[in-house]
Amino acid sequence: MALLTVENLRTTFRTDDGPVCAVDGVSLSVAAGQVLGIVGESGCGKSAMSLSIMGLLPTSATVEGSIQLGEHQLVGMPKNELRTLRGSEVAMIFQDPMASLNPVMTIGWQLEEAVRLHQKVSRREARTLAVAGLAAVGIPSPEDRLKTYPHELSGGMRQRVMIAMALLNRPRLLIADEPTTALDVTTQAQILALMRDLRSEVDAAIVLITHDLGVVAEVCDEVAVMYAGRIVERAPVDELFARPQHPYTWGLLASLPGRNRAGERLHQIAGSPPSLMNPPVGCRFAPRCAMAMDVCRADPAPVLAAVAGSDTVVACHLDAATRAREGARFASDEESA
Amino acid sequence: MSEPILTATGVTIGFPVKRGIIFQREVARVQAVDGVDLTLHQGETLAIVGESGCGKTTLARGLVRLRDIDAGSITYMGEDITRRSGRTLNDFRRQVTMIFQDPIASLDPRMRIGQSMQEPLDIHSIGTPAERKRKVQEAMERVGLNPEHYNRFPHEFSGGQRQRIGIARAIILEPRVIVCDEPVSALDVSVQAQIVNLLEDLQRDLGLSYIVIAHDLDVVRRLADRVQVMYLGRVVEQGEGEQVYNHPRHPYSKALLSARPIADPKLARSRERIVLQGDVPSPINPPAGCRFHPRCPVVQASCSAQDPQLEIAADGHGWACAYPLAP
Repeated sequence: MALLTVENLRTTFRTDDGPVCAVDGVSLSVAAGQVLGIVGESGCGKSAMSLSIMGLLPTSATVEGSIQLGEHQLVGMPKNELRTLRGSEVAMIFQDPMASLNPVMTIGWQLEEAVRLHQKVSRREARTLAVAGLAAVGIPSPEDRLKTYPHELSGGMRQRVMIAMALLNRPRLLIADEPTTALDVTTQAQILALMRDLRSEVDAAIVLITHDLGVVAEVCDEVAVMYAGRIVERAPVDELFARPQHPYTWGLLASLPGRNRAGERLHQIAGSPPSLMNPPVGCRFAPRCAMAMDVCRADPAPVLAAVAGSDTVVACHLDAATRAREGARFASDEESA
Repeated sequence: MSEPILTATGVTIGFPVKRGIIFQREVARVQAVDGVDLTLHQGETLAIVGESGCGKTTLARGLVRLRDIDAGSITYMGEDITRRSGRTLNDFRRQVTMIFQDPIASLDPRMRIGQSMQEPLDIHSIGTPAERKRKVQEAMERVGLNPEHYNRFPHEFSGGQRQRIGIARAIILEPRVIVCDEPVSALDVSVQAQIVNLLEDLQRDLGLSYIVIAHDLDVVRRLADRVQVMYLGRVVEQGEGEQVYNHPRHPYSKALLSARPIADPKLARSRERIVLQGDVPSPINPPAGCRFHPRCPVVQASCSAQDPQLEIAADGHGWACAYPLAP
């Protein structure tokens, strides 16, 4: 049973130059204890989607479709109800912990605030919970840390504090938007290990937004690849790397520097992502796709359809045999590293 | 291997630690870079890798003389440039340029990009105004920018294009060495590939030598001929890319390598992973003995007493560890 079910989500921003549809008909679901990865380049709508789920978009945005979290329908929910859900049922971790922590308040104050906003507890109990929360994310001597300010902590520590804060009220859904992008590789490994542990401990559903396929391979159970506001491929993580189906996924896999042998040029996806103000007709990836056919450049755009013999869905006009043959060239099995 | 083009010997760079508000006094000095040697040969790429705070950016700035160095010397084409100033320093800076990590922060938002790229030519008084403009347009074409965008502002470009502007500005003086500080870490993976390819093309076509500062080990493996791993201001391991990547001898190098995410879920689950605990200690008060010993997964009793020195074997592979890993 899925905890979060998003159906046909459309997020449109009003701008001076006309409406921009950042998320265009996205459907997905996550079950408790599962990690769903959402991968794509900057501007593909992955952050707009997570902010739609959190209800944190500015008033210039309109959200249509359905976001069902357990028994709650989040689209069209009044703001005050949404506010009680946020932080208790749904929590979010952002890319830059320094920008999300209050620089003039101690870590302890901010953690206790998060507890007392959602739970009827005394200050002393809130403090105990805050200490336990910091200990759970592996922060040494948590009592002393309560008195520190964000600037006194390293980047990795700040991100741990953010994760601790997000988990304080035992949310059922955790959205992590590029949680390790700003961190060093060793710290990233620590945070990813922490997320793997938490997944089994807290039994929450996690949506992990990233542009790094390496991070996806490390922690996700399922992956959705987004391009220009739409999901182009959704697959269990092993399937995605073993039998990638969509040409955009192939491009992403091939661009990874670790997968290319020295002396070979790195594969690059020609061109750049389209403007969402005026997206191409038909398949949005067609202008950059080496295998585009006439049907790809005309309406209707391909819709997500199941790939026979697997749990993958893909939105592509190419026939199954071609996709299997071409996809095999980008599969991870041939990697030696 | 050809002649060394840029060498550094025993480079030490420190920052003062100050106390007091009005009557500031120096209470300590942080050795951000502590006795680093490096040699860059003509046409090769040397990578310097390590975590934040290991001193790699400070070292890069010292090498291009954006920072004064406290001790040691830097030699360019056989000449000591450590104490150069004025006109002779400018001559050096024409030949050794830099690409920065954040292309937005390194471009003036109110300056047209053509002017930004032309500025180095203005500073060094090269050519007539018409020639300068032509040179800029050639450089733009060379890095894959449309020369018609000469009069645009930085905000009109995407991250990858801005990095191309930064690269165009670095090559416009026809340098022989470019120091690249995290050239692709702010970019999306598909754009990273474009910039990495561009850097390789420029190296081949213009005979450039690169020093690449990075924390992304996959990008480094791709670009670098030789690698130096830094920890807390010191080089802990150095060697050919193949040596360091496939046969790391220093536990820190091994931990760094095992920490990078692998884009293959089966391999990611099965491989041996070393997750280092804690953070890099403060360089104000570095640990006694081997600086890595408090985080080292294979620490021995004597590591807290003895400070191992970098020892370089005949094949060029060197490490600073008393108990190196088996090759």
